Amino acid sequence: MKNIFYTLFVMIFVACSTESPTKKFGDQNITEEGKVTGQDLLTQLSENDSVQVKVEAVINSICQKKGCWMYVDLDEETEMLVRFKDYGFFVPMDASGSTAIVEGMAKVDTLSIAWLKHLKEDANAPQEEIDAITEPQIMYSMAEATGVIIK
Amino acid sequence: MLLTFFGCSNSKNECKNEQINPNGESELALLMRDIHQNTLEIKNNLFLNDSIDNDLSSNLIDEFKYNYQAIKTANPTESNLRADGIYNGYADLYINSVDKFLNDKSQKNYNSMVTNCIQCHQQFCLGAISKINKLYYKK
Repeated sequence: MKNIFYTLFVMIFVACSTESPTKKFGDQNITEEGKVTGQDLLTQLSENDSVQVKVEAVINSICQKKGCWMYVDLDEETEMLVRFKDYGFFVPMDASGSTAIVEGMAKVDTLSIAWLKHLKEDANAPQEEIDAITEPQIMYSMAEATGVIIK
Repeated sequence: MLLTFFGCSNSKNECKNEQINPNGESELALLMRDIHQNTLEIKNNLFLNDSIDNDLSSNLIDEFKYNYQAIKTANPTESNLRADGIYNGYADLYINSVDKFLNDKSQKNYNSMVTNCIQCHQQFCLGAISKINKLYYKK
């Protein structure tokens, strides 16, 4: 009997400790099925103006005021700005470095000077960096992500 | 898991807010979500409802009045938001436009109220603008 309890305890412990710390934000029905890599997305965006996509990428920075936007790395040199549909959900501010799967419409976008400065302010950048922004920037963007998985 | 379950069963609102923002929301951020909801209900009841008597319930008006007046006192995400007086200037403009709307619930006054929200957000929080834009009544 003692052994049975011990075995059960170990099984429960292992089950709990191996449980994935994956968390979902926004659409709670989002799955990893059909996800593509950042490189795949870049290839698709070289052939299309916009792409409805589920892309897996590492988060490189997050809004440090509220968690209302994040940059993810599509490859070693290219990042994409992700914002969340209707300001309806945010992500944990300490999730930089984690892998995320984000779903939404990705495209090449032009970010205004006001937006670029706002992003720097949200990232707690030094004032000199904020003042140095004098031109809009063309970048990869997902302006209305519907769901995010972070693991 | 049990802790999460019991934590969430304590307060539905708390759990909903946690789902929206895992970092926690300030009083002002929560208030603005409520104001957005109030404004959406106003738009739906006044302009999109087919009923003959498109008027607003006293409960909705009371809640809206309580909420919009609190934008000058609720604790913001950034503690220095009101330090230079700019936010309060925008808040006054917004409050005036709401008073005007409540005196005359016209589409023009309604849209002017939404415009005041956007003007303030252009200064302080660009992220919410796309959501607020959808509040405009367009024929």
